[in-house]
Amino acid sequence: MLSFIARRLGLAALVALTVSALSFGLLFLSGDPASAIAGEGANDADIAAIRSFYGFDRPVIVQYGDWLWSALHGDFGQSYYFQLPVSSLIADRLSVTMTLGVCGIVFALAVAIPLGVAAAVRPNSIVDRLALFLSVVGQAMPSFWFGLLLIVLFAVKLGWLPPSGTQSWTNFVMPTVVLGYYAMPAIMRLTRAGMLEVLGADYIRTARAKGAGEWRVLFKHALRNAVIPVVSLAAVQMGFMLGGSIVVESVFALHGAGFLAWESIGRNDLPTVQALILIFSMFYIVFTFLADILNAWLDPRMRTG
Amino acid sequence: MSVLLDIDGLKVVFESRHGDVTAARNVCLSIASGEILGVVGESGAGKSTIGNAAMGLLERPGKVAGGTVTLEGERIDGLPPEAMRRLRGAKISMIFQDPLTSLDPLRTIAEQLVTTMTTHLPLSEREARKRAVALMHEVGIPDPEARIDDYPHQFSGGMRQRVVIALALCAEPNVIIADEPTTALDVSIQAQILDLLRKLVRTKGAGMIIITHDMGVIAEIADRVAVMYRGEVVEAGPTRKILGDPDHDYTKSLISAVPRPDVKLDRFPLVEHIESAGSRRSLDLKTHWLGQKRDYGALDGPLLSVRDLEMTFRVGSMFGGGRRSVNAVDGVSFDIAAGETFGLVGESGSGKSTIARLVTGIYQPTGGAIVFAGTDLAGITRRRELNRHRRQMQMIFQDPYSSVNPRKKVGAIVAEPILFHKLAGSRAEVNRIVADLLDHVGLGAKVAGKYPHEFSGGQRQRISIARALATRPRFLICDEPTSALDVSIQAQVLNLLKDLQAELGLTMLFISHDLPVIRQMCDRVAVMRRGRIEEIAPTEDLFERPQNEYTRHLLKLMPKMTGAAA
Repeated sequence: MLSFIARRLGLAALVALTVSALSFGLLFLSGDPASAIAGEGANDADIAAIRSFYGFDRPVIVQYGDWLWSALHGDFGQSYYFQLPVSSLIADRLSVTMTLGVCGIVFALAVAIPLGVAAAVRPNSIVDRLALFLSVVGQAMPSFWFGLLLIVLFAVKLGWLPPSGTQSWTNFVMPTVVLGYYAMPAIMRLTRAGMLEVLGADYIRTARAKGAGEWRVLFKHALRNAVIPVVSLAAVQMGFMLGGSIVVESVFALHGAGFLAWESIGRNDLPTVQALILIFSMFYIVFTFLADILNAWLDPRMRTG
Repeated sequence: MSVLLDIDGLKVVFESRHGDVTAARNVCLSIASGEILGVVGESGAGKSTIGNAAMGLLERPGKVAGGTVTLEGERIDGLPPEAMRRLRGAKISMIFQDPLTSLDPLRTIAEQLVTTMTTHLPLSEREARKRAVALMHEVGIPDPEARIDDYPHQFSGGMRQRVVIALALCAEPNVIIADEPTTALDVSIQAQILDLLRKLVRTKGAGMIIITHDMGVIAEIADRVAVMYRGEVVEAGPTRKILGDPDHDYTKSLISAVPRPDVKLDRFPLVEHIESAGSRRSLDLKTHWLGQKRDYGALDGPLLSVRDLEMTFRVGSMFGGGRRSVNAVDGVSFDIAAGETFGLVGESGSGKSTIARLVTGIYQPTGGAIVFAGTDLAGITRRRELNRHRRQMQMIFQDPYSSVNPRKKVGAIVAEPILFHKLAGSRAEVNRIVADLLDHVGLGAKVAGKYPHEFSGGQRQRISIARALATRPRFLICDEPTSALDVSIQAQVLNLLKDLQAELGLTMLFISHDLPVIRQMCDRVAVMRRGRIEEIAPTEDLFERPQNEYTRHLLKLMPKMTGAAA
């Protein structure tokens, strides 16, 4: 198990390094960064001054090493637009996004897994049909529309929940539901399909034949086997939620990291975009790594792989 | 001897929209302590249904529609689910066919054994664990103290089946139902497992029902036999009587269809009562498509000559340790003369199928030469060049259920190699050839428009044969072509292969783990073990005067069913 973790960790580090190089390369994708900062109509002297101020005149590999070294210490440079350290800018926004992401995935898992199990135990029953209905709606309905509906009902009509902002935990209820509901269908369907397959497996018949109770068969034998692919899916969705919840953040006016990324792209604020891309990628890498470890813990056969 | 389990007049139906389907009717069986009852029959005869019904494990929509099941004097049919659950494992338990899938892969052996014991017996975890170790020792798992915390995938197939048996025994049931307990195992493992089961039944005074399609297993282990056919017990009695002097026609023909290990027959006797295959017409090779453009030059020497063939697989991950090499084929040499049927026999993992894949070019060998009709295939790297040779050799696979594409119509399946190798000028010609081929393997031209799932296993294997013939091959590789089939169907398919070989002058590489089948089909045989050939000899010499120790060992394990009734 230890060597498995070490190997996965090494692999994750390799991926992280590749991603960091790519996101650093982004800086040069749009031509000369110095003239981009200087803006239109700047003269050559200004551009040269900016170039030497930001260190663009040094060799690329030195710039990359320097940038990476700083990034490892939490320093992503100055935002061109805000003229603030990128790290403090992001730290603020990230706490909002992470709260939302964690709540969202927990909500999605808490709804999807029991529903998936119930649907698989009695295929084509009322429960199964209801679960299918819910998941089709979840997949079909755009999240901004669902968010607006919730705001109209719970904020405007009933006045139970605040429509926007980040002042208290009540602000996160509706965004969590919207974000979680968006991730729920895929997890539910995968749980259902996995459970259906596992419940037909020989070892489930063995468990029944040796007199195991239905509860034990379902949760001790079947669910543990069925949940393995769900772990990998949830990890990817979690990463997606942390990076891509721009729509939900806009609807509920939560100034999170996704929103910042969207703004910064529009403003050509490259250091911020770079830092966000790096951080979002790190989330994916970390969650995939955690999912691998969790799966290896669940499934002894993976530990050697 | 007291009667442990008594099944009387049992009827099982499967309800469906189109009316009920009766899977078993009027079945009467009983077993006493220390006794082994064999239930034998072909697929669909209702054998497993009886076992599941007795266990209360019938899957919906199946249900018991009549009759009684009495366990140690108490009726257990119609018990509420919870009461039935408490009996399962404790009073009546089951051993399953496939040891690779019958154990939960995510739980250690200890967990699986201990929870079963603590569910049924008043034992603490520690006591249960101690008993589990003792039980593992009893079923012949070496070093049980160390291995009890291992996971199922860390055991071999035979060892896993021992774990499954330990699991069935661990709460000390009096009745054990074993459903094809050795079908997935090699003969040497099969002999050990049957030995173990017999010993356990005798020493514990339990009663066992052994459900199997294999007459050899019945001959080996059962005290009494019940023969099932289409949901009914057609004949029951002491094993010696049923196998030696059966009364019922079905039993007679079933026994006669079992390939005889003791003497080579020209053709397999066919079983009455089974699906009829359309009769085949003989054909005139001079005018028939299959006989045309057999543009093979004259050949002196063998058609296929394999020299020092080696295949090494690297296993383990790309990163880190655990990387090692496995020599699947390790310096194998043999020749196959034109028109000959050459047999490869051996246990699983001996490298038989790897050789088939190497010869067809699915794998590139890591060493040695494969000389086919004078050309070394291992030296050819250009695909087009290779395809020209590949056309002349075709393969028939083991599993008729997974080796045909379920989304394609039968006609398209058979037509594909003709189109691929551009053997026909027009679509109409392709259709005509396909119709002719299907007719020729006994399916009839009309089946071209149907899908594979509409056919039985034997019929699907005929589809595979038609597909293989579609390129007008001169060399046919059959990799366990009938091991997934019932004996009666096996007899039909093997007869078909023999006929086709005689008609078309085919050369065959015939791979099987089944020695009697090898004896009936092959001219010469190579015995394989761990990637090497132990012995090559003409078939009759090999069976009558084996030179090699391992060959003798395999022959000794061969089931003793001689089909004396035939």
